[in-house]
Amino acid sequence: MHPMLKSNIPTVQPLPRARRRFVFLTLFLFFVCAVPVFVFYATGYRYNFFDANATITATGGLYITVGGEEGEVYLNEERVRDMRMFRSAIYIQNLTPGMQHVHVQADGLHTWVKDLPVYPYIVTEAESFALPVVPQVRPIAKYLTATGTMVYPGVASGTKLFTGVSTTDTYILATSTATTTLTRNAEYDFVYALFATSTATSTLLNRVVGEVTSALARNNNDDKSTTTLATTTKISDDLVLSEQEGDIYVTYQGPKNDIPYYFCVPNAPLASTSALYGTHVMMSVASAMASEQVPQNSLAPTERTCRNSIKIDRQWQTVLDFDFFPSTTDLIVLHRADGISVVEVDDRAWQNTQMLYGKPVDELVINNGRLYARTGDIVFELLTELPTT
Amino acid sequence: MEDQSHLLPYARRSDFHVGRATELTGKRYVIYRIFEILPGLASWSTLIGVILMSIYLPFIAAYFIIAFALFWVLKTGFLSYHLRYNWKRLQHHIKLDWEALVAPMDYKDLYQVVILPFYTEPESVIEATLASLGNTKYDKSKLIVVLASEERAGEYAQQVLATMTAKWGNVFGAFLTTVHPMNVPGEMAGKGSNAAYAAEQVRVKILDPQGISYAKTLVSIFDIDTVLYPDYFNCLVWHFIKAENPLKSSFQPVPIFNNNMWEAPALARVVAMSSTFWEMVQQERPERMATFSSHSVSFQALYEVGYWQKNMVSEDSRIYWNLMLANDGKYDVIPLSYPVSMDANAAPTLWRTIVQIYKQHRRWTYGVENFCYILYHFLNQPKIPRRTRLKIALQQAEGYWSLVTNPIMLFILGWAPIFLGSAEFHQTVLSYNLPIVVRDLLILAMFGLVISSIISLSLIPPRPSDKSRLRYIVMALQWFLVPATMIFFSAIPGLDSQTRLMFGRYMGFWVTPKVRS
Repeated sequence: MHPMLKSNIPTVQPLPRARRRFVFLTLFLFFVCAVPVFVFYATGYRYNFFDANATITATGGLYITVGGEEGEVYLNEERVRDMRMFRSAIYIQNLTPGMQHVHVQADGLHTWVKDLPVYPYIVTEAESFALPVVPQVRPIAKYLTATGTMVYPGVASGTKLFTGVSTTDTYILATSTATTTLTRNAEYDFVYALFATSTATSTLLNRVVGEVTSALARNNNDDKSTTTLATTTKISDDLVLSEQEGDIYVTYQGPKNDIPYYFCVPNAPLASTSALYGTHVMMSVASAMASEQVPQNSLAPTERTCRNSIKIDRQWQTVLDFDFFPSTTDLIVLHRADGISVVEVDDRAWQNTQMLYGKPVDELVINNGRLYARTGDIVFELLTELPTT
Repeated sequence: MEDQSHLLPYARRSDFHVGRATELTGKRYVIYRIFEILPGLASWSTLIGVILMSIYLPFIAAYFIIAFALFWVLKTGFLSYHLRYNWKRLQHHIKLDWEALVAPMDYKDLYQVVILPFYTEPESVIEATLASLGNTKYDKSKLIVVLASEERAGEYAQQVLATMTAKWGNVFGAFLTTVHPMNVPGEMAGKGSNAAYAAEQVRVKILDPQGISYAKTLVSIFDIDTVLYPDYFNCLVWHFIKAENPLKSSFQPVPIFNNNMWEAPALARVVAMSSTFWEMVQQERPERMATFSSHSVSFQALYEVGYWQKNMVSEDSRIYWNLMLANDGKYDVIPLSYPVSMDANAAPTLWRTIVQIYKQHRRWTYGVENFCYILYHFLNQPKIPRRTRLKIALQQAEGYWSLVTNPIMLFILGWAPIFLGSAEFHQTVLSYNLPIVVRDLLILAMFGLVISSIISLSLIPPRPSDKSRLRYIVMALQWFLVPATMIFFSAIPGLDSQTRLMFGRYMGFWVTPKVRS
């Protein structure tokens, strides 16, 4: 009966206060018990109910950014059920601490492989990339027919201008060298001019930067630094790409808290760092700590140690030119003596290298996010994705 | 000086009808002003605190947000339980034959005064309300209908009064028209001042001349778009007679904003039905209730506190607090669990509907002015047990705080640690799991909306022949708009109101335009 009324009619009475209190207390008790469970779960604690010797374990996770939507992620050779948080990233949780072998693969693309350590409560990040196995090129001929088809004059029919590559563009090989009936391809002229500008700038830059750096190095340092001689420098965001004694380095020069994750490793004995990430990482971390160029508690949170420089793997090849990959600073394009390769900056375990073009070219230039290469008079664009069908 | 002998002792205080701090002086002003600042300060502190915590203590913020999301799920379940129960009770009460139930009771000398304040609402709206009064199963000779107009409404109001008097003047026991004068010192133009004027006119012109007892007169104040169900007065009489303290009780029906449900856009329907649901939930926990919108009360009780307040916006709830304080806390709201139909807030265009809903909810949430009033008088009213005062103050504080902060914290700030937290936080499992856990909990909470959807479909009027059956599907799915409506038509207007009060930028009464096809 309603406490304010003196009758039991009508038959449906307001919700009895005792029942309301019971429901409230039940929910309150549930809340008190459930909050720690939810918090521990979100923090990474797991309990396996199906294991006879089950104990509570602290788990970690992996966050793999997949370049392109079609890439499939495998963890320790087993395909990961698609749990994409966003269009191009997969979050794998409930992982017991230890090394995890990850690879990302897709038809027609290079496979990206990485050994990554998983720590309790921590999510290890990595960004995969996948370039076409068969280089995709777009020829840019000097001349066009009246209908706009590309023409290569003075080339015998049957000649293979582009071997070992794939292209969807059509072009004509003309035995005749006459060009009077043809029109000049404006794109060719534009791209060709880019090569000329690039060479002129590079030469001038090399000279100025080299001399200034050398002079500064001699004035300010008295030992090994004096040998440092940058031949050229590329800057993107807070990252500087430079050459030192034939090797290429990426150096971070930005705010402490914005340093890319792959510059840092969780604080641990150097032996452990070596085992997890490789000797090269251990040595650069040790170097960073010893030289105090990256003092702990300053450049990054106290839980990790960060270097500010990473060496790019050039696979013993001579590097003729280098630059950041279009629209990312996580990948480096190397113009090597044997072709054009793309290398990830992330050097944990190893750096994945994928050949973009497996033959020598004379010049490479990146303009407005496009990669152009030149071999003699042959100019073409290197495409980084498979054509969509 | 005005005769105050009829007022209860506490209602004779000079500050009993205080509307805002500026009406007080000295220490009283300072105290009241602090209470006006308090709600806004608490809400802003909470929201800014969550942001700061996300930046500087992201782990603590994440734990707090997880706990809060879980609290929200349980709260949704708790309220849905009340809602479902009241729905059953409402359905039952609609089916009951109240006329038969009150037949054995002695209520023949009970009069019903119905006050209908209006401003510039269309004649068709007023006509429908009077028609519903005419259709009630109650002795019409005991109905005293007051059509209360505003002088500032000008010629139009006079014309409406004349038209309605000609048509309805002889249908009821009495049909009184009043014109509330404009620019009365100390009054705010609005429903409260109009209704108080009308009530006094009824007393002077009808009750006193005819010797009708105040204790035997029930006053129902209805918004002008209120359409009554046939048994409303019988249901009211039953509850009045059965009440333990009928003269120390107000009677609250369930306002269902469904008159124009088939014409209103989905947004307006969701907001309107959400307001109905909140009142249905409150019906099952009357100790938390204050009167809202249309309600009924004895004339005796009203007279003892000087009618509705004339100097503030939310007079519909304030009258309950006036009565509660003046009666030393011994005053109740009795839920009728019987509906009255009103209009969903809809305008000819969607944008105007959005603006209107925002303004209406800003006015409703400006009810936070009652919180200052309660706190102020709780300091001065020792006859109400301290425990009761504390309990009510905390309940009201939680209500106004959660109204503003909860939706924003859940749907916006829940993600703050991910965007604002440190690099150290970003690399943790907690950082990655936070959006997943919160998302899953909110999805769980959305199941409460399924109940809402089912109940709302049962409360809409019959489908007009020109409306497609597909509308039912839209009406079921419209509840997915709830997260957005909670933020834009509950939290933000609430924050707007509290901020205005905090800075002493007091609001006036905004009349919701009524449009009905």
